[in-house]
Amino acid sequence: MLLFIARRLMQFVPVMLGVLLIVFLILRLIPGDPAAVLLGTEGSEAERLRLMHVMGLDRPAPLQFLFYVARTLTGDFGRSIFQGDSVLNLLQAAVPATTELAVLALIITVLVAVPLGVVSAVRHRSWTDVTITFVTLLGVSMPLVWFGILAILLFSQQLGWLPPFGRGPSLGEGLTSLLRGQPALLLESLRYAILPAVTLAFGSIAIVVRLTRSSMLDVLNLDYVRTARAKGAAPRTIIVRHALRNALIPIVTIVGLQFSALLGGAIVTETIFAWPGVGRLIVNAISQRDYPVVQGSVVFVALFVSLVNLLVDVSYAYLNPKIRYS
Amino acid sequence: MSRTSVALLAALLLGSAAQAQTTMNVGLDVDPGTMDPRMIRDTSAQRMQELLFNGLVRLDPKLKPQPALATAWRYTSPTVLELDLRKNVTFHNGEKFTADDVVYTYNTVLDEKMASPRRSFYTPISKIEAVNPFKVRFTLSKPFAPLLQYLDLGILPKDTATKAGADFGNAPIGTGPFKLVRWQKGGSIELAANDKYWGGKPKVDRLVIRAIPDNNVRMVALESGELDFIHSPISPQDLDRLAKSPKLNLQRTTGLGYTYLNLNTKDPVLSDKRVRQALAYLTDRQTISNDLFYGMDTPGESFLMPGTAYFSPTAKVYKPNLAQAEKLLTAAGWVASTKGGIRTKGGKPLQIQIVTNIDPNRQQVIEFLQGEWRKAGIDVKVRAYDFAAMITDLTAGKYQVSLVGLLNLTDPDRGSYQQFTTTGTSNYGKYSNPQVDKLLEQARTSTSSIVRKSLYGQAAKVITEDAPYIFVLNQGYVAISSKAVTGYTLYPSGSWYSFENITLRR
Repeated sequence: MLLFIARRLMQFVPVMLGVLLIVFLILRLIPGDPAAVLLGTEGSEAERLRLMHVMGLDRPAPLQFLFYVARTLTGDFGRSIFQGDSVLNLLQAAVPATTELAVLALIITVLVAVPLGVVSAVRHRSWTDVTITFVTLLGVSMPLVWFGILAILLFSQQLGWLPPFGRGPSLGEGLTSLLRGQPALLLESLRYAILPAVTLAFGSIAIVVRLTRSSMLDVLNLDYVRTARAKGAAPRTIIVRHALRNALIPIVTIVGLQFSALLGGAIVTETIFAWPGVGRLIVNAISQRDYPVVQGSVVFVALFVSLVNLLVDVSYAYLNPKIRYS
Repeated sequence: MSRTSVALLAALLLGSAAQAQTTMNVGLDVDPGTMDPRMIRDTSAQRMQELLFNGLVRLDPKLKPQPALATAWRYTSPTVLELDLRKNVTFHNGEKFTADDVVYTYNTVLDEKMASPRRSFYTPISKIEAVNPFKVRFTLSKPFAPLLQYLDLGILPKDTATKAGADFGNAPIGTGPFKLVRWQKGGSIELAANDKYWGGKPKVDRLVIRAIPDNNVRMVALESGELDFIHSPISPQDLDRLAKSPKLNLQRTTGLGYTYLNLNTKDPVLSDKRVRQALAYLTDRQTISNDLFYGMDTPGESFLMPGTAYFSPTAKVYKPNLAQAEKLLTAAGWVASTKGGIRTKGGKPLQIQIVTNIDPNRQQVIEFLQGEWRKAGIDVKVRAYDFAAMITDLTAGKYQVSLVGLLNLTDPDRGSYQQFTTTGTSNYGKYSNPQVDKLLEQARTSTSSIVRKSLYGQAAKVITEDAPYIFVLNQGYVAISSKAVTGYTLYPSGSWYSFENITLRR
């Protein structure tokens, strides 16, 4: 197992280099450069060229790439062209916010989607099943932006229950104060996080419900489940202990993949809800052509996704003892 | 409701009641890029400068320089300006403010290595010196009338700023009415009242400023009471509803920016003045203002902003006139064709592309113009693309017609000199008229405001006649606050100077 993990970690290196190369190329291929954005509508072409020279962006692209990789390997991701701050500092501030949002969304997804999927499968072709299928269809089809704005209009503008934007105290701060017996901070933190997290989770819930349903249906029709029924096991035991555990493998895969998708969705969600995370950092950086920030953030996201995929693979072995890694 | 949740709710309520401090919540459209006054590139950073720092002067709502860190000033000759500095002023960290700080600030702005975006405003300065700890002297290479207007640049503490280097913008120290407590990048900015402020401690204890990029969300946040104050940009379609809200105060004025069509005079089609004038006659500004901007932005005339001391109504006004436009196009050799209705010249169809950045209101404008110009037989293509790519093409002169805007025109020099003089750095369309060059150069070096006004009036007349720009709109400025906010003064520049006088009555 350890050998397997080590080998997978080694594979990260070429993956990261590939990601870097692609991001690097895309940034240079799209029209527009940071110098022009810096100067705005009051700059001159001469000044633009001078700035490009100062930033070293007038050197041949392969050379720029080599310099960048060499610097990155020493842990130096450079400085933001627009904010002056180091990319690592910016990521340090943004990563916890995005992780918090994604984890919360994932928890919501699993808590809501798996039970719904199971119910849908057990009550196959009933009205409950049809309703759940229909609602999840909506969830798959509705763009995040739309859902987010509707949620803001309802819960913030009409009902005035929740703040429409921003991040409160971090979930970590909230939890530590809860341990000290003061739940107010946690509530405040959740008050801000709940709308974006639910928005982010909405699309994933739909996908996980549908997969849980079909996976459960497959398993429920297998011989051993019939045997379990025949020997008189309680329906609840059959569903939870016998069927669900075996249906979980594809569900874990998709939940893992959804986590990566959530990071992607965070780009939209964070922009709507003004959530200070990596998604928003990337969106701003792309529109300003802030090369170091885009490169650094994308590498971080790639690393994160790779780690989650590894985690998913490892969890298979736990769920199905038949799977062995070597 | 269970007992625990009642307890939780009570804790929450008590928590907020215990906070006797007054906090004002403010919404912005973009995060300030930096808080270093020398590196300001966006209006958010400009607003932060007004809260955290003081300039030598401060521009009042009529753009007249008023004392700030300088208490009095005089030109001892047309190229020498002396300023007396305020005594007993301290920076947020306790450092004493002296003339050295002024000299340091301006010298670093002028230093090429700093790459300050504001450098070009100060290039006529040849020397800055401290005459004594409370008097500075600016020596100019030639007379430069807008100088005083530009002396609102925030003054930095020399020692701290030297030590901090490029990081100063993350932990700014100024002499302003508020000091920085916490800056969560991309999240919120927390400021506290500076109780040692020379102008008296501000009445609100805390400001929490958040950047919310989405116009709708920012508006909802104000309506739901999460925010106490928001300002432009605001979607014009929401103005009416917000103005009627019993919970809000809406104030509006003509701002200090214009939106214009930049015509590339090096383009084979647009190099002909008659074609440019024809386009001006085909651009119905009143309809654009009324129907697309709901009156928030008003029809443009020239680079001179209405409401400022330099405005003069001498510029040529192009009233919508299809017949006149057609006459001009025919005179320029573009003859009406029977097939398809597109004019041709030597067999070539009359095609023009208008571009702009992605912005719903600007996109509407170019789509509207597409239809209007088509009436005169022009085949118009429109394209909206992202700002970075568009601005790169514009700077490189790769465009025919571009819809863009200029902001913060605190002096008429700023919206004209670099744009219309032959060697002007932002003259992307390569417009050139020796008469304009002369007028704008004179206006920049004259120290009499009466002479300047007359020169700008004449320049505006020639420029509108030549039509290198079509001035579409004068940008409006809107500020909306909750009824709890009193003491706020509207500045056409959008300045937040009056935040130090605001009281909150909840």
